[in-house]
Amino acid sequence: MDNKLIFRGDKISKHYGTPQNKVLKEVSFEIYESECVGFVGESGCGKSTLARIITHLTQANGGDFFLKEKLMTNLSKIEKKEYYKKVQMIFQDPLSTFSPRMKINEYLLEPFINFKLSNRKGAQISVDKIMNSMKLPLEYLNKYPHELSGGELQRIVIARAVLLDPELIICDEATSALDVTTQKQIITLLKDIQKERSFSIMFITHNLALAEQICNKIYVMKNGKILEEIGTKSIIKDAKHLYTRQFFTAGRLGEKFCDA
Amino acid sequence: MNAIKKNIYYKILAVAVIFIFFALVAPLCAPNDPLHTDFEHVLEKPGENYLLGTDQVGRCVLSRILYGARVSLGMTFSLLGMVFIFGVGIGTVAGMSGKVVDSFITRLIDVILSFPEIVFAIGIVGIIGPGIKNTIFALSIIWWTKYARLTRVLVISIKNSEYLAAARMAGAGTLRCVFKYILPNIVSPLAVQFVLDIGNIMLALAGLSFLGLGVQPPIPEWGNMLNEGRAYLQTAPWLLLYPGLAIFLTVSLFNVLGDMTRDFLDIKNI
Repeated sequence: MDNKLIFRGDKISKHYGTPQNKVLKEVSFEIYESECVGFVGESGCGKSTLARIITHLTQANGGDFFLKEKLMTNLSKIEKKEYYKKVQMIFQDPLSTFSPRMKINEYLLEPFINFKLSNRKGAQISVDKIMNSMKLPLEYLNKYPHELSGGELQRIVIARAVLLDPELIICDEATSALDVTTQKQIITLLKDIQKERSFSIMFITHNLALAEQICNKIYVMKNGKILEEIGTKSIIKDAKHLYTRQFFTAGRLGEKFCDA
Repeated sequence: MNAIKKNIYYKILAVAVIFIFFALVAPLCAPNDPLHTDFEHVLEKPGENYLLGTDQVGRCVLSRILYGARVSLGMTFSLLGMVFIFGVGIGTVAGMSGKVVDSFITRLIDVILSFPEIVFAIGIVGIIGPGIKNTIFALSIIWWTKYARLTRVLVISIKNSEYLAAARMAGAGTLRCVFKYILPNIVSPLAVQFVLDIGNIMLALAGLSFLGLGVQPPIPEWGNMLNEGRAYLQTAPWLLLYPGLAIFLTVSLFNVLGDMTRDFLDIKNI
């Protein structure tokens, strides 16, 4: 792809507790404009830690990352706020992304109020609009999160992330907590909006088969390292590492097993 | 909580509200001036003239109990309100800041909580002298720690939650996170603690007054009524019976209310 470089990670390292206990070992990657990049690996390979680092939820111990070639590793509070306009994250469990005592409407208005994007009236119009485009009824705005299903909530989370017109959306296992049909709906929705608004997606998952379907390229991670970078056309053929092949076939087997 | 239990809860809540109401309007419904001494009716038995009898200087016991309710409840609620705001504030600061500030506050709380509360309060009142204000001050020095500790733990549990991360990504600053996300979600356990403490604090205040360290005579207060009546236990038991009953019923009422509030709000582990 000859698009613009949006996001670049350069030798990001992280350890928990002692320096020996490394969870990320010099991870470098590149994400281009309107590209969907998969980060795939088994549990504990450091993919979620990576997401938390580039969203400034935890601090890296080494390495840098850049948004449009601007260094973003150490940011002041105000710069962080600016940064969050450009980079948004969708979490794994939709219900835990919502404050239990906040109505959906308030949840969606939050970015408008905090970033002072528009006055309350204008914000409400935008919220109503995004609800329509997500095919969610407006009555939901007056409900509490526990009254909605996981799929509906995840759509609202996506709606809020998209509202800000970010450059990059990080999906940290965004569909893992949902059932297969809802998973499919959410992913179709995400891809549709991506076409419309052309942001990049960093798609973190443990499901290589799913990543293969929707991503332009995939980083396979193991033990805190990026094992290899592959295109999604022919994973089995291109995969240089035995691990990737095993991981892929294991996923396929699992799917077949579930279908039967 | 089923419908019957809910019904009972509302009734108890109503009783508590009526009780507080009576304490507030004590001057209107008390039959006599609580400070008025009637030397023709000293230590009179409960009867027609004085419904609950009179004390050693001929003051109406019923009126004193009614006025005493006002003093007791007034002190309890002002103390509780103070420690609630102060404790929750400090606890939030400790929970949000972490590191040095947090460990300093936690150690301070540990030190204060390591003393038995009444002994600590007696010590402070002994230094600064008895009186309503001083008693409240002494007890609040101890009591804020309970709220601070509870708040701190609750704040930390939410601080690491995903919805706070999501809030930060939506641009919420620390203050907004605290007031919009954290406090609304920890208010119910704090409310339970608040209601449970009404009884405890009332008991502690009555205890200090009984020891002569709290409310000073002639102001009527249940604790010091017990203290003054102590000498007449055998000749005029009503001097102890009615204030004692008043303390017992009120403290029980608010304890039951606290327990039921916990069930009502469906909170575990407090």
